[in-house]
Amino acid sequence: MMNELLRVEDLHTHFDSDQGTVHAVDGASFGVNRGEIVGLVGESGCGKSVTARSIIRLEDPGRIVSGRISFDGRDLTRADEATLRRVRGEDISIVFQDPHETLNPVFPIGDQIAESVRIHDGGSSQGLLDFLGVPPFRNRTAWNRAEDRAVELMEQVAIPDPNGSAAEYPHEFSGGMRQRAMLAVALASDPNLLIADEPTTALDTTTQAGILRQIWTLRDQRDMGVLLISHDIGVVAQTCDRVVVMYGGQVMESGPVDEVLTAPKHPYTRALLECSPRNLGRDERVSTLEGSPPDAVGGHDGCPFADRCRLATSDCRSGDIPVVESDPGHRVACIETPADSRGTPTVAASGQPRNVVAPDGGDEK
Amino acid sequence: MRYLLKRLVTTVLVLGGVSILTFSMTALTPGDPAVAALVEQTGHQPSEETVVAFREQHGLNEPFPVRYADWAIDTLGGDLGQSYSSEQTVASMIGQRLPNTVELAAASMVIAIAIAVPAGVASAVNPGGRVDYAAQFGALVGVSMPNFWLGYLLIIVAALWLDLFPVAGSGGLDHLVLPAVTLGSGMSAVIARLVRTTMLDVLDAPYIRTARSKGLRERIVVYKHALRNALVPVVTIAGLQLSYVLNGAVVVEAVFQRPGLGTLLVDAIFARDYPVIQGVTLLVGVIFVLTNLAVDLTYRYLDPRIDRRGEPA
Repeated sequence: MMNELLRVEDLHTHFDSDQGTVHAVDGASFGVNRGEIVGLVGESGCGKSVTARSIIRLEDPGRIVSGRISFDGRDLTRADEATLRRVRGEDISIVFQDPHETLNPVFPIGDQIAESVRIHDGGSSQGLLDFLGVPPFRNRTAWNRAEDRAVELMEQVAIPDPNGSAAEYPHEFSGGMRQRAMLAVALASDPNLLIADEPTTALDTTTQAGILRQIWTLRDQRDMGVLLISHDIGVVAQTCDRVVVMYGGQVMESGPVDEVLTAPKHPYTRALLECSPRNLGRDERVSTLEGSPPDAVGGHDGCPFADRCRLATSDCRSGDIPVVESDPGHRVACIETPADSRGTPTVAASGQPRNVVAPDGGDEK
Repeated sequence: MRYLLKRLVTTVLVLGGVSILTFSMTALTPGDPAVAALVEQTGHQPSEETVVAFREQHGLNEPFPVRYADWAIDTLGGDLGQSYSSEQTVASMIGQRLPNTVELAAASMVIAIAIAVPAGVASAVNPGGRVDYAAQFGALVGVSMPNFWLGYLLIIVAALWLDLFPVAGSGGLDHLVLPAVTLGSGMSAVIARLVRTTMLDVLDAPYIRTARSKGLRERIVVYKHALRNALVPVVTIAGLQLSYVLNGAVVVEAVFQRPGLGTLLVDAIFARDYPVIQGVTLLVGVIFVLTNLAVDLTYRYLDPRIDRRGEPA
């Protein structure tokens, strides 16, 4: 694709644990185009966050075992530390989940945003004493400029009274404000790709809608690509252009939001949608997906969803599962690729933000 | 501001308690202080007249509360009384010795921190690596070595064999090096271990990942974002280590024959020179209390989450 910004190809990220090697990401492939919002969905523990961290190469203590992550033609899995430092922030920024701990508690918010500006302002060689603010080494003009820019950024992400708030510390901010501040940190360097890992999970629905609108606006203004990670199908339906459904460290189904969420082809996607309370009639009960995500120790042979799948056959449990492109851009990793997918519950792919209850409560650690 | 006032009031109360305890030592020590002091000074049992004269001279005939009140009032005016064994006032004796001890304490603190922080950080950045093992081993040795032993070792090696520094006494910077290294190394071992532990904790925090994701150099991530957070417990321990410095000064000053508060106290105890013992003990108490106050105030600068009541917000 000509506008493709990020391409993840057959990514494998492993962790060592006492029980054995955990295949957290087990052959995931997907891409993000410029100006496109891609949703990465799946249950807790399916490898979404590890995928995100692998993309900016902060997968430690995990390690990328194989696969390619190409960004603008460069393979990030082979890049050296200096290249990665430039890529981080300048090309790819990330907003981590849980805004309570992602900002440094001992520095004012404004300083943390300004630092992000300074890192990529071209003239900065990141001197330790300059960044520590030791007087003769501190580049005052550059920091003043960065601080002014920080206030602008805070205004852009709709933090009220940005001038006053810049001097406040993270603990003086509410959860929603902290998430906005994180967004400002991420945007400070004008990235081409924004990865947002559960940016709204810890927030109330009003704040959530505000942040999502913000991401939307920023995408339109800056033509950024956005990878939005969520376990909340509703959020993805409202916000994204395309969706990638992950399970057991693999991509089950991917394609345009209106296709995947209205006509899901993969049994797992269908099961996820059935669990979404927004599709219910008055007296229906929310259905639940039996069992829990597979133990990723040792990886899988065959389809990771086979043990919970109603349609599973013995063929599902061994060998490679073919990826079928059912419609242009719509890929499904399933042997069965059910013909009858029209009768399943669907989710409206557009429209006004609605209150959505997440199918699962939290997210992986 | 209100916090500061409250802290100051408690400080004054604590110091009052310290002064009562210090002063009661004279009354609680078995035996007649006058006789004891005279025996130590003259070396033989004093005559009845000398004892009576001594009591008269030093106001020992008054009842305990009156003596305490007199002493307390004098102390508030800066007069710590008259030494039993020398012609000098306690205040002037302390005044002569204090600079030497302060110099030693400050120098050993600087040495301790200068060794401990880089060593602890280097350990934590690569736990289980060679540097970590070396630093951990060094810390174990530092903790286990008694001050007097290290002191004599340094005198033998650095002063006698290598002739780099004077053996004993006080004076210029060269006299300060060996005692400060002796006192500082044990302290640095304790602080280095603490820096390592807290840094390991902090380096796992999500905000460190955020700092890296911004494209910061690892050096800035470690020395700005992580170290600043790791310093809060370190400052506490470094402050408490001041007690170690003052205790250690007694031994180290004796080993190196430095005239300081430590040697003054030891001499006073042997001479049963109660006014000097009281004066030095009170001063040490004051230093302790003030250090604790300083540590609390430093917290609030280092960690903005600690609010005015001194509790985490």
